[in-house]
Amino acid sequence: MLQLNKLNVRNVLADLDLTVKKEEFVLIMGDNGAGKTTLFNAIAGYAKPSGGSIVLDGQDVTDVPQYMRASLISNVFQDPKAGTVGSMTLRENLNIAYTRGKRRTFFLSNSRARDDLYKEKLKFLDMGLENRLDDEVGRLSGGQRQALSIVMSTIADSKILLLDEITAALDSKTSKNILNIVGEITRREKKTCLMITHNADHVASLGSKLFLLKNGKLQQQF
Amino acid sequence: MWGEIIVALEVGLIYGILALGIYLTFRIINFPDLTCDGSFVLGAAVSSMMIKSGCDPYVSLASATIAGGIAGFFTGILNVRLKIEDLLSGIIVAFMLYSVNLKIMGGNPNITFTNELSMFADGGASGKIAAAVFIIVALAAYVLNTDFGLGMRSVGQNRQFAAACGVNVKNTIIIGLIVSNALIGMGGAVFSQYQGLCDISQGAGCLVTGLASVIIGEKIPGLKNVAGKVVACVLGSVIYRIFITLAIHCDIFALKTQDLNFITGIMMIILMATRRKKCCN
Repeated sequence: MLQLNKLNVRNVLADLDLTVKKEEFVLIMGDNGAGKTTLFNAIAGYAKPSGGSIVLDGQDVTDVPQYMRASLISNVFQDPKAGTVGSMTLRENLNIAYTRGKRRTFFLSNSRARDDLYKEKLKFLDMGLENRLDDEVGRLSGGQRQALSIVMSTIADSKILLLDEITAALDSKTSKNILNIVGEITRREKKTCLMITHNADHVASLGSKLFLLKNGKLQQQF
Repeated sequence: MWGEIIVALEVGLIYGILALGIYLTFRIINFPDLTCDGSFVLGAAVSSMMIKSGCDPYVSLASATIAGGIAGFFTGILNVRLKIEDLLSGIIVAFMLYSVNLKIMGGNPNITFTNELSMFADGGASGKIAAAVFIIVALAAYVLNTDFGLGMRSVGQNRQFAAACGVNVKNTIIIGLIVSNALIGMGGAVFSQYQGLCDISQGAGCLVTGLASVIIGEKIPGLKNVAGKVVACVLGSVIYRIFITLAIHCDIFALKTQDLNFITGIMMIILMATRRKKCCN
């Protein structure tokens, strides 16, 4: 699904190779400054590689601008605030996520069909969010907000889901809950995932493969 | 006195178009755009010169709107493509527009034309202005609730998120600036036709009065969603004009027209200082 060939980004990533198969859940660990986020930025198109290629679902996207890759790639960020808009309602946030990578038209966003879909997806979180579509996202707790951004990242199709230390800003109990949600949603929706983590425990519950990023290269642990 | 209130209402509605333009940049795409002092006069100048040369007032209005849009486009290019700071982009374009506007006006710092040539020739100014503002407000409220409009709003609130959702942030900023300055140019054109006058210094303080209207509008309770906020801009502008008219006419304050900027400033400071603390981002 995702293939990185001899990827070079500035001086951080050096001839990095990686192959992620369909429906695989790959975890990446590494010290601070090892280049984990740079790797994600290169895949998503925020950082321009100086060499090598990025192939997503058979399509070479190395030179495709970031906003055009959005139909292929979805993100969940470390900070729940980064992945949502606090001053907009849940419905508005979901509407924006729903049209990720699609043409944004001049038709009204709200529709019955979309509402039903949102409610169905939010119900799954078991947080009562399905009844709060008109509430501002800023009123949610950090955990609820991160759960919402996970739903938002999976509501439109994508080839790969990039999860960047998604529990780093949460307490341990909430983290556990969020990880369960990620595991269940990605399994159910058959997502291909790449996740940065600092916690080796995540491997057992989520990962099918673990890589260590060191000296600009990935070393497979198992 | 009653006649002056009507004038305040009409001027308030005209400036409501301007306030809406400022709302689009300052609040929707979160771009502090200072082009407006120039694009307001640009609209007035284009419209006045065309009317003087015998053009249909509505055609001149459309041309002024397009001219404003072009000014906004340049501000956008300066910021997005040439990477000049947002504030500075607007300042530079407004600065250059001073020369452009003088050129359009044939080197004269002010032009007057008789009211018979303008869109208000056959009377009914209040009705025409109200109808125009209503159409613009309805259109803006609609667009901001479409998928396109939501994408645009997300750019102003959280650029990282907007980009991740595939919104073309750079183009969205340019589009926002075009639409905003087109509205401001239109406001300038309507205002000049209303007065039968175009003056090179007409634009001075446009930004502050527009922003004051937006801020007053935000204080109106009950208008929370985006459609409500669009209406609030226009209402804010009307309230501002009526407030100013009353303030100047109250003998106890002993205020004169030249005190206008000072009163406006004080009012804005008070309103902004008492702004509700934002709970979230």
